[in-house]
Amino acid sequence: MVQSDFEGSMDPRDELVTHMGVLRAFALSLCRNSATADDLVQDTVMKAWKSIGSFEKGTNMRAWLFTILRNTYYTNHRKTRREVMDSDGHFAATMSVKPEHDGALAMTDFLVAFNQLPDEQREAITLVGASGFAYQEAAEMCGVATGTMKSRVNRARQKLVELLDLSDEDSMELTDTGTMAVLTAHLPVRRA
Amino acid sequence: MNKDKRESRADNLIKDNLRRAFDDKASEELPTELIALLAQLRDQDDQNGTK
Repeated sequence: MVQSDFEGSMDPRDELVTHMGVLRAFALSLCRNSATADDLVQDTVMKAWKSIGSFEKGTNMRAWLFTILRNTYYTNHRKTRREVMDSDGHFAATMSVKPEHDGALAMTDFLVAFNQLPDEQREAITLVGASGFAYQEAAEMCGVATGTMKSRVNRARQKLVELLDLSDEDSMELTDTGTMAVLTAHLPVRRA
Repeated sequence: MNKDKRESRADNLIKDNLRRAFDDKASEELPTELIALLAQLRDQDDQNGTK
């Protein structure tokens, strides 16, 4: 990821604040629960602020923050493994995205599928597919080989294709359940 | 539709939704608790003369 000269010359504390939005998005992709994600971001900020002196100016602060966040997440996760993080599917409800009724894949359907991915696959596809990190950068952040990161992203993609039934040509024009109900409301009912 | 095109289209759909979900969350207003924490940390640094 390219680091701008502007960011390289900023006070790291000022730069840290500029990454809060993406840090929250990454936290939510891991936690699948808005309140837990915000707590995780606060823990991350406190840790990062405390060790800001060890941050090397001009290097990738976003990667540094994401690494602190994921380490904190997995440490906490091990402690609370038995907790049910999203038993009622609250994650999808916390995402304030607006589904587009244009024949594209519905966001709510996508999020339900995304939530079913294992931690390491959600993390991998978020880092590479949404956060803009190269495979190598994402691999370094997660402490795995680049090949492992590629494999995780690929498995995540395959699982999403399977869960969203995107392998079939006829199902490529997905829309959300509500729209489908309207679209199919006028179809004749076959009676036995 | 051949297999490559299908896979490519599925990939694009997934990428689009992934980015949209991420960007939408990232562009939300920060929670007040987080803003307060950042202000508190900044104040502490100012009081301690940390730069």
